Amino acid sequence: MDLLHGLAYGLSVSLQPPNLTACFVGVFVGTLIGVLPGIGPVATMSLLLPITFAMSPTASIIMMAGIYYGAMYGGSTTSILVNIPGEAASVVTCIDGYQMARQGRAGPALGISALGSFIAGTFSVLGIMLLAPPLTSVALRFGPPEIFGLLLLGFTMVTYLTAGSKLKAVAMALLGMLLGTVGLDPIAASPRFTYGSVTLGDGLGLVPIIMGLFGISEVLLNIGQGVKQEVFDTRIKGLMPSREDWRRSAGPIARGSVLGFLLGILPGIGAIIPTFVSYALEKRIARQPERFGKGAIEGVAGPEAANNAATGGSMIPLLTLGFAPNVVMAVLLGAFLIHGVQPGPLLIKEHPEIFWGVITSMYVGNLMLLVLNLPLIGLWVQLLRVPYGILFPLILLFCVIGVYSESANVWDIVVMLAFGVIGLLMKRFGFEAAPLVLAFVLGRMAEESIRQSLLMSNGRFSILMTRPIATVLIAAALIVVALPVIVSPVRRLLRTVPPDDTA
Amino acid sequence: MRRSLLVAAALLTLAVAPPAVVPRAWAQPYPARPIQFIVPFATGGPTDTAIRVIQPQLAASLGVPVVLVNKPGGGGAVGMDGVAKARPDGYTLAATVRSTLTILPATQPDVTYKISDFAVIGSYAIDSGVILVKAGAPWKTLEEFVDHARKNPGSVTYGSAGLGTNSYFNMELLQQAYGLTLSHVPFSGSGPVKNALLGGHVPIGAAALSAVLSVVRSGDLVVLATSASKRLPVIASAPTMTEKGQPDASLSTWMELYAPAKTPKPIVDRLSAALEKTMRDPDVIAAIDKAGLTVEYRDPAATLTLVERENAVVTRLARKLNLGR
Repeated sequence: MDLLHGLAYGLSVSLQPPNLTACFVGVFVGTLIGVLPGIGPVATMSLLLPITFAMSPTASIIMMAGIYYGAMYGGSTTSILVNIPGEAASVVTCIDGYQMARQGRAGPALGISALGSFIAGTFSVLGIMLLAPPLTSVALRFGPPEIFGLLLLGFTMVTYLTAGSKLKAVAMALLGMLLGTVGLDPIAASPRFTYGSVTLGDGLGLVPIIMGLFGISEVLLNIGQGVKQEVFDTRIKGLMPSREDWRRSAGPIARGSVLGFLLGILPGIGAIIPTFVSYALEKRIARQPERFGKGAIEGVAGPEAANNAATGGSMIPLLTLGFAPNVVMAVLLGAFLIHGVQPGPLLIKEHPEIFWGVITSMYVGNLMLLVLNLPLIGLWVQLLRVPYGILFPLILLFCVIGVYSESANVWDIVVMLAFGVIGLLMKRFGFEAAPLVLAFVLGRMAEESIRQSLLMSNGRFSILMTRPIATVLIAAALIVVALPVIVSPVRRLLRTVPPDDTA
Repeated sequence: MRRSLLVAAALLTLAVAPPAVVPRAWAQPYPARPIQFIVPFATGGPTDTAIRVIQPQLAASLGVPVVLVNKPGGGGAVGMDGVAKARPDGYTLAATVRSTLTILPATQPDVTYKISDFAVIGSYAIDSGVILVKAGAPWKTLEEFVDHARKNPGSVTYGSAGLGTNSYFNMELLQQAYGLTLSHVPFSGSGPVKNALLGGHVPIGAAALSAVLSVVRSGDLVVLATSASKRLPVIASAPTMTEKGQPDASLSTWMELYAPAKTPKPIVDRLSAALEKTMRDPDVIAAIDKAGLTVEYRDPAATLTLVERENAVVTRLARKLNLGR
């Protein structure tokens, strides 16, 4: 009853014209910056924060949140069309999304992204309303040892991120981990590989690396090959996912939603890791894993659902504890405080209009995004007809603006360009960038959490074995690694023995 | 044609020449154009929040727009270095926290600027440091905790917002003041410390009040001591370290404004006056309060005294802990 009351109250708040307008502006801007490569939600929200001064706190938060989940919708567009992630959480979407576009199936890929995002968004809004308090207490049980267990499990996903050589994927993952060690060490704060540079003390930025490895390198690659716009020639087959597409995508969307939502709640995870996990999971359980990397719609549907659900999940610690689990939420937290509102356990009592208004606005916003994005698919697909001579300079421009707007640091542009060249070489020699990105994200966090764990236990590794959640996660990681090693020789053995009935 | 080119070249030379050499004929009373404040942190943190909250009134009392530019990096060093080297004309200033002039140079060997590279405009607010435990913890007071820690040297862990943060220094100062030995578990910010305390992963922690206020007000975390000079209205039951007889054993996060060192005195005075006027505004005081911060205005002289005192404490401790080399 309390819930229904809150829901009705929330809807009455989020449907007020100023809040409805704020929601629309938020999701519209979010979609736009999601589509533009390089320009991400963090930079946009920071830049727009001053504008919210003139608005009510509720409208401000509604707009800011709209930008975040709106960006998740838009982010897949450039991944699918030009193999360049619109923002960091759409990196994995490139793998199969772009292949689908090359096969003339850009429409269904975009369609399943939008619909999958909508389903996941709706799911996470329901999740916030029904499960926020119990999930908060579960999330709090994730201390450093549990986070380490989770990250270890994440590392086992690395080899699923390639359609090619597993050895090359592992090599890239190691390089990613190595790159993650640049900067101040997370525990002792001593500089590593900084060469006296204060800028390098913060480590290499994720956004410049991603935009370099995916964006700049893709542009360079196409210039190197001479302009042959293959996607032009292929006839675009249908704009909407077919029945067969739906059949394949239903499971991935459902799993991606749950996975993204649950991982999104945990500190530090953000929207990127869930997309990698979702992709790896779908490939792991697929009957024909070899279809992945060659335009499998499951590889688009799962991760796109996961990143959207993660945005909803990450709202939970912010609303119930006033804790920002990732960088985007930190900006949102700032927006709360500037408006004199402290999110936390008392928010629902002190500012019910904000608590319920923001949650219900997320549902309204997801609906708007669906209505906004489905008709746009036709338009986006037309984007493929823009000659590369015009498209590529624009992409370069947006990458530069995006990376600079994130940190206001010119060196990040240099880092991006350097990784553009590295990415080009990687593409030329058949190394994939996704394992590098995943290991880069996981490596630093894994180092921090294992060292925190050991500090908590005065150096005893037993802390990983005495805490149930951590133990289960680490055991799961070991099983995932050990299983193929055990299973494939056994299978081979069985295969060599001729079955009795045919003999 | 040639003449106009020559004139243009001459004008150009004049425009780029430093004002000390060629006094600008069109000099107007300061401030004549928008003033840019470099915030050396990302959007969303307490430093950023504080200056954004006072921005409208500060602009009003200066009569020109105030533009905020976030230049994060190096824990604040990138932005501060930029201001130290900026043209001292009063149009590029720093909206920062004191620790970027004290802790940061003392702990990071790559930071090369000094306090003397800046002219103080003033302090305007604090984010109090707090030492806290989870509700229902065995210790109700700081004394009870100190007792427990004395009996178990080395086996009690504490969480901080990271090495080289105010919270870390507060816990180290506490250990020094009471002769304790605690094990340090650094987290990346006050938010994660809050989570670790609520989840029971560390028994005690130090953080900035603004980040934990919501769960302190709800009673989920209990403050054992604050670094503020007097009790804070929002958590009136929490004693200060000064009350405990340890005025120099804790640091608050002071929000301060600085100009490059060579900025002419009249300009710095004009800025200080504007800041003082802003911080008297009841609306500003209320807004700062709501953001979890407390207004504490100090004029340039008083600020400089406090900065130098903090610097002495911090440098001594950093040397003792062997940081920054």
